[in-house]
Amino acid sequence: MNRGTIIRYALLVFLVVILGAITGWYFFLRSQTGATQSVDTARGFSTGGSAAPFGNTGSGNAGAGSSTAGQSGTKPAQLWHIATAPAAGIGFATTTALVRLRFVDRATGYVFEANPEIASTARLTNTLMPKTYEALFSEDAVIERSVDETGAITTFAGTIHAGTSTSLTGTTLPKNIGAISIDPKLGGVVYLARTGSGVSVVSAAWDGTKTKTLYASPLADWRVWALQDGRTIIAQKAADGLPGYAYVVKNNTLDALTPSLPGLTILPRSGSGAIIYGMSSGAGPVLFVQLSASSSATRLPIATVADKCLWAPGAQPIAYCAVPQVKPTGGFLDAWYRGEIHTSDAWWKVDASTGQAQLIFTPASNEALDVIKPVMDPGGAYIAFINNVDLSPWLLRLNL
Amino acid sequence: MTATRALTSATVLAALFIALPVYAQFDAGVFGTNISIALSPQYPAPLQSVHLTVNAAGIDLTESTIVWRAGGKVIAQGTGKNSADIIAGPLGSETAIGVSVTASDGSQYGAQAIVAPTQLDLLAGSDSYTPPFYLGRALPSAGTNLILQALPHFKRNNGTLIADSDITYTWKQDGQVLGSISGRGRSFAIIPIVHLYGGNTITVEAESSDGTRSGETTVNVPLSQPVLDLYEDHPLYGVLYSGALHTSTHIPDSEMAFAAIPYFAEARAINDPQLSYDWRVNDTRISPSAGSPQEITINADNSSGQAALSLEVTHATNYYFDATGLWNISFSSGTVSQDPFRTNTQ
Repeated sequence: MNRGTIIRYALLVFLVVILGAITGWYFFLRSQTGATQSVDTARGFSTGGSAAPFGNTGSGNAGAGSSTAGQSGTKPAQLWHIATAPAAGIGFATTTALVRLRFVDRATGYVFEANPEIASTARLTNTLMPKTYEALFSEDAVIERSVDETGAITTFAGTIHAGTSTSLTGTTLPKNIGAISIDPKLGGVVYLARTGSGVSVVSAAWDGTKTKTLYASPLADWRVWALQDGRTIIAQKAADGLPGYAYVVKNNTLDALTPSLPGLTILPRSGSGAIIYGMSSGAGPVLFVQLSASSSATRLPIATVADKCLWAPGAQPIAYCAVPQVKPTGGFLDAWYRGEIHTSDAWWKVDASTGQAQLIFTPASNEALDVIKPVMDPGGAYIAFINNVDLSPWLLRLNL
Repeated sequence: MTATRALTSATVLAALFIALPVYAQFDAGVFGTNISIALSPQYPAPLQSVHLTVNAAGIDLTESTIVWRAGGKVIAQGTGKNSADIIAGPLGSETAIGVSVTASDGSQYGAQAIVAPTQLDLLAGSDSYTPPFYLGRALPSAGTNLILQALPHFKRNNGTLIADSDITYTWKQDGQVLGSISGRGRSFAIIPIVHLYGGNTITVEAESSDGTRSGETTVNVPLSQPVLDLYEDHPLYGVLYSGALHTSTHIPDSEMAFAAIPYFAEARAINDPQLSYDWRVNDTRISPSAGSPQEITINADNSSGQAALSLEVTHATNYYFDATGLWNISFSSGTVSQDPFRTNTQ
């Protein structure tokens, strides 16, 4: 073996060693990525739970500095500040045996799952959906909505593969969907599509196919609910003092759901004709409950908007409402929708059959909770909501 | 003369009690004299209380015996009983109303009406600007359009709805008929807002082509002034619409991007080229972000104190539109310099 051959063999061995080292380093880094916590301290905020690594159940997810922060591994306080970072939407998982709250991190669009038994959060997806403004959940489905560089609203209908994959797979729906609701009965969506002369109420399969126009209106400002009982409900977006209407969409026609009221906000109940609706005008918000279409409405002794209420599961017509502790005055609704004012809410239980309301929880005086997007777990034990002050997700356990 | 009147009355009563024609919602029959039934409200809603009044020219009703019937049953009667009340049925129902009047001289008169309740909704909105995901309604301001949709619930007694194309709509603004947008099947209207002040009282009348159903509804839509709000445009979260900045705001950082939202402006989009954004920081005009004139970034490195951030938004052709805002913003940063604030364009 001459010297040149020896050198070639040596170089070959050296090359193999280098390649092996690089490969090893690559896999090492890959394994460490899941444990990298990104905290944006430079901007003075912590991404908290949203930055929690997938599978990690660190207590750092909970609201730093909050007296109600949970400590991982132990049952959190009755009012649990799940994460400090803004959430785009929340929803309880219904495909798991245990109570799990899912939420979408606004910055990344990642889906997280919170375990209220041990105050932990875990990341379920790692598909980046930056600046997710709005998110909706239903079972393993999630809708994430954002705004693209042209200012158009984007909507992605995804599926969570918990336990099998961290990818969020799905379909991008048409741009500029004004409002959208997951259809829990058919597994599709109902949304408002912009047309040249207003909007169309469209039903579609989860992948955006099989579209069907349910109704068309020259007006653009509607909200939509697709209920488990198969009803599709639309209501005009509310404005203080302006008459609002709410309807059930049926065979390309609209059946009135409530009387026309100024500043109308609604909360329909699936499976029954019960509905909570509010009005808002010069005297501030007023809330009503009606058990069925044929019964008369009862004015509730709480001053809030239907957006802050939810129906409890079960046969009894029980609802829970977040009620501002300082009674809002005229012009509240418009200013609240624009984010000009915030409320500090307490939770009330409403018995729709009697029209009675009972105070059940008042947060500590240092915690101003302006409740939006409240949801309840299928067992009726927890209420989750987003605090409109900083968009962080919270969880309230009803039973001590 | 008396014989003729008696014959007429007999014919009237026969028609009244034997068969009630169904041809109008409240069409008062007039039989031999000027006798009619007036309804209040004129266009009853489903299950609404309806006040019935008989009017008869030349007949002293106070001395007359009056019998009211609804659906063939007597609901009120008595001397001088010139009114009665009923509850309208549900949508699609028809209630036959009859009134018979026996004057003090024994002559008889009658009239009939059909109460067929209808519902006519009048929905109002606007094409003014609101940001994405805004849960409130766009309000009309000067230069924008008021958009209206009349939604009739005109149900026949067989349960079917009368189609839009079979309904004639008459639109009125402050009492003046808007002929150009009225007509058969014209259930929605777009009305430009050309005035700066005042309200818009819009009325729509709707009547089915067969005349059996009709309704009228009025809505008053006050004009709104554009509202200029300022939000943080966060690098990770986007525009934080949930928290409009107060006129005095402390920023726990040395740099922030701001986004202005002119709610209810005449604009198709936030960066509509018709809109002009005049930003000033401490009275110094600042160029906004390229391509996003509604946004500005302020860096307060090496400075502290108040930044008086002002903004005036104007429209190229709408001289009524002028939205202004002033925010005193304090940043957390270091020492004060002569030029305390830099913007993204400097």
